[in-house]
Amino acid sequence: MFIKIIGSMVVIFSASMIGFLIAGAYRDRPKELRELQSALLMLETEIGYASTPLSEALDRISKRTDPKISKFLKNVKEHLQKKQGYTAEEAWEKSLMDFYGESSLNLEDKAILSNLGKYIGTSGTSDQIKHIKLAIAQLKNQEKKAESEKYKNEKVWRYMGVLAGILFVLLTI
Amino acid sequence: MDVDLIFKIAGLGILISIIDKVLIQSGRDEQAQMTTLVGVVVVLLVVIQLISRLFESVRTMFQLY
Repeated sequence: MFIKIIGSMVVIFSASMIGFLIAGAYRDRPKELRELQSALLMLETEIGYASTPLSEALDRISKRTDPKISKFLKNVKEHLQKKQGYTAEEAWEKSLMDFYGESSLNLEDKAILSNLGKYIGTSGTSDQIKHIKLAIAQLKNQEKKAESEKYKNEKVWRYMGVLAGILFVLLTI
Repeated sequence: MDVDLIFKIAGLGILISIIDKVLIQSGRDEQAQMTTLVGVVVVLLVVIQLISRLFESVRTMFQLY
């Protein structure tokens, strides 16, 4: 009897945690997309008006953004400064892989960022700015979608985890 | 007759009605219908054993073989 109670508590707890985790991903995605947009805006300013070298610009931006994105940008910068022969695109792509694993972005968001990475630090100032602007516009679009998905899914997952746990316990007890 | 079974069925009913409400509120009417249907089937599976036991006892009581 005692073991049964403890077991059912563990099941309910873990099911609710799974639910909260999935809900958390839906909650964080719009916020991360917003932060990414502001980081890209800063990058645009750095490239367009100050003509800062890429690694320096990334360093400066990473001090002013939210921790996850800051880590991503710092990673790019470190890859560049290690002087192991990475081009900006490769450094960007490598760090993006890590960032994608940690963040709650989906594949489309990642594709936008990796598309931007192909042009960053390669062509002229005005061309880079054009691509950054394009990426920001696309991210804004994604943010709108993410917001509506959040509204639709976050609450459901939060309830559903707990309820599924209780249901499982009731069925198997 | 074990009373546990009644509580179990009651709990299932309450839970499924809550899940139904949550799903409808988030605009997923189809899934809500589906869960209700699944709930009905699950409860039916539990109840059908009791019904069969009832028939069994009726048969033995009136010696209908």
